[in-house]
Amino acid sequence: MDHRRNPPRHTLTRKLTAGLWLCLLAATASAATLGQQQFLPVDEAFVPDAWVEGDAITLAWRIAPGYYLYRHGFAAIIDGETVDADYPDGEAKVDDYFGEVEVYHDQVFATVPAAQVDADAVREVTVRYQGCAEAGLCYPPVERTVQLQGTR
Amino acid sequence: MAGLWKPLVLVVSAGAALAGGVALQQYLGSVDAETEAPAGPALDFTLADITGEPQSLTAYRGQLVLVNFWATWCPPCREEIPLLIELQAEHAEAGLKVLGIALDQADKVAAYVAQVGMNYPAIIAPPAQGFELMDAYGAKVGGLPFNVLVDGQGQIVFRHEGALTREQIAPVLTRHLSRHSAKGGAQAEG
Repeated sequence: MDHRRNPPRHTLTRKLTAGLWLCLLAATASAATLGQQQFLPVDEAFVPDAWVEGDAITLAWRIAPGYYLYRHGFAAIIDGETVDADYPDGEAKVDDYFGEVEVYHDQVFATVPAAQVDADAVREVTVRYQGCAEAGLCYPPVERTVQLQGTR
Repeated sequence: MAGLWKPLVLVVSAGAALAGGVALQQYLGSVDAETEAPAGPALDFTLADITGEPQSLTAYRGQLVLVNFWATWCPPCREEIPLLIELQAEHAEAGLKVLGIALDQADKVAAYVAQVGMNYPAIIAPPAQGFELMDAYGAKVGGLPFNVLVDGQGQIVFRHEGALTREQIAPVLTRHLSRHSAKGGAQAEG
């Protein structure tokens, strides 16, 4: 018998078993793709960071794809005092309630200038921010304290 | 003939994968809508609405209650409110009661409620208390909007994080309102 031309029954069974596994994998993948929208926890959607750069402090946020932060939602607090920071221009977004607002996607960097703070003396900064998912969910404002990474 | 086995197995596998995927997606969709919700009673609350009247979940026992957590600062929340107003108007006689719980300042909520003509109670929750209640109702990420459907016996039967669409909620309401009216009819006959 030439098995290359006429596969035996156990070979066929193996192929069908492999096919069924393929079905299961494909089914799981399509279900995950097509299923209900799943949203990230806020600390995965927005990841803050801060470091000393020269005499100033740089604040940074990494923003997950499909999520955004509001420019008006930012605040930086050092030693219990709110300090002014320079934020870059954001993308304009028209909100039917608030009017024109600015938002950031992907990442944003802000600077607390040297005039605002003695960067050498600062060990941590508390940042406040608020954002949403484009798919239709908004997180309440959150505050996170970030230890400064220094390049003094 | 033997050369046909591989393509045949591949075609059968691909077809079965497609059918399986669709079937599993539909199954999981129904799990999201119905079974995935915590199988237990919804925690009661007593909170004042914008008129100062106390509102509690148990006051609406016997009705199908859609509890909507929202805030004025939340664009997707505001976008779904016209849908909730429509649903309340369409299904009020069938036994639906929408309760809006705003995690927000009362004056802002009152102004917005007047602006949109909200036809259901606008309840104010201090944010910390509101988010605790959402957590008790099974919210996973703690974002807004968050909707929970509670049946006439006080059991959570559906929950949804993020903006709700008519396509998502209408079949669920229809199913539970028909059960509600069937029970009501049976009780009336009894």
